[in-house]
Amino acid sequence: MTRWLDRVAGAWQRYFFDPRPATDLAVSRVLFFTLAFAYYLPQDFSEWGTVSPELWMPTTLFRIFALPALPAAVIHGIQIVFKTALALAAIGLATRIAMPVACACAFYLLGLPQNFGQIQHFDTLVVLVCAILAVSRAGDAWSVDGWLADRRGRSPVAPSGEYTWPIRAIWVMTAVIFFAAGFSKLRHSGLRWIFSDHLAIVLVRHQYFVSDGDPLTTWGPAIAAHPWAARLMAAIAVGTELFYPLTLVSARARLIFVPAGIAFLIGIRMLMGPTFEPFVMCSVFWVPWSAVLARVRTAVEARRARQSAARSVIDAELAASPTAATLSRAAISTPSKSSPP
Amino acid sequence: MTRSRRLLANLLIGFLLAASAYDIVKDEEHWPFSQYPMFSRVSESRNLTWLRVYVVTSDGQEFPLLTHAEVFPFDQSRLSKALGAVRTRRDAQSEIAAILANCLDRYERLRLEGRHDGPPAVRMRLYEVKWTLHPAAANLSSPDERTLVGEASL
Repeated sequence: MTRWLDRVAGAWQRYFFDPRPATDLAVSRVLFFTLAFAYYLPQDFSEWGTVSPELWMPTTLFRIFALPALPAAVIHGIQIVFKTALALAAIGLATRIAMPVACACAFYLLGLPQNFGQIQHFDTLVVLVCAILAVSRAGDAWSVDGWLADRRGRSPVAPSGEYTWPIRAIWVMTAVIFFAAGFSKLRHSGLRWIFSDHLAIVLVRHQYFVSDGDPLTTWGPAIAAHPWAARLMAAIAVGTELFYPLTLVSARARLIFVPAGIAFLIGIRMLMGPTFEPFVMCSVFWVPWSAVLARVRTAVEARRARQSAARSVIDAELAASPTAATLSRAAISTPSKSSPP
Repeated sequence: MTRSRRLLANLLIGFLLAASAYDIVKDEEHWPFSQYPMFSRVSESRNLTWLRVYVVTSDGQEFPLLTHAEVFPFDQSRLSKALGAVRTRRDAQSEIAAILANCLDRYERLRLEGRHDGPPAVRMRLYEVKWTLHPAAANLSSPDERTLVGEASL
């Protein structure tokens, strides 16, 4: 038993804390906070401060911490702090302060609407990601803080578990959410969720302005008109949700289920309306940015090498025949279909 | 990575997992943790009952509020569910009147600020609206039945 526990503990520690370069987490931080800033910048949370108290139905979190619906002017101030913190976290300035501040503001501002009659789930992953990043070292690289530290003579940022666990924790929470949604469907409805007309009816219902957002297309009723298509979609949805946790342990599964999950959320938005954009933003943490950047760097260097070699040939031709060299130079500077770069 | 940092990370991951597992197992919801129950209960009824807010103009015309901007900061889903919850209370009638007065006040203020294109309103009404689902929602503006639940005026 002890040996088994040791093995589990060892696997846990390796999964979350094996050293990784800072780039994956840092680039994800830049993209996540940039997208969050762009998404939340036009949003106004302050009107929640003007809503009738009869509609105040606090969630457990707000009840435990006795958090009230603050006056509109105060909420307005909090949202300015929130959006500023998102921008600072994106560029990596005062990151160790900006990320916890963004997290605290996210808990209040994104949690506030949930106290008015219905809990919606579009922002929950954003809040959890903010909580994870708040205690992370995501600002060590690709940041103004890092650049300033380099100028002060900081030694190069070495691979560390500090750059592994936040990404892996975000993966785990994403997988838990997808799995929970699939499990709920089977728990409450069993296979009837797939093999009944449920999804077809849901697709039609959402044409009656009953969601938080309007469907981006009118394809829902068209799909609903073919029960087999709606059932196939239901099966794919439940399959994607239930098997999503495979992404935690398999790179191949990541290649299938992460894009499938994103397509699933975009599909919901297009056919039914619910606004899962914040959830999609969190997908940036699945991309192995250090590998992507290494490929880009290799491609750029190869291109430079090719151009340099071509120039050497031109210079040699120039020495032999100036007219031919001019033609070659023109061919290189304006590549056509017949002359690949 | 220091031992204290590793401990902090382990505690956070453990807490996030434990709280999520609790909600999934108990089928409960403690935002931001949840069992994610949306759309999980099969409903094969082709009837739709919804609480919808309408505004009344000075010449007595009624318009349903369908856009997010018109019911801001609510949306159609949250507003209907919230009003449905209030409707089960003992003082529902007076509470709904107070809520509609508050919604009407905000609707007019936001309209004057140019934040939505709804018509000028002097009154707001809450209806319970019933439809038999049409494959293309062609009967959206002609429901089978409408029952007045409450109203408020400026």
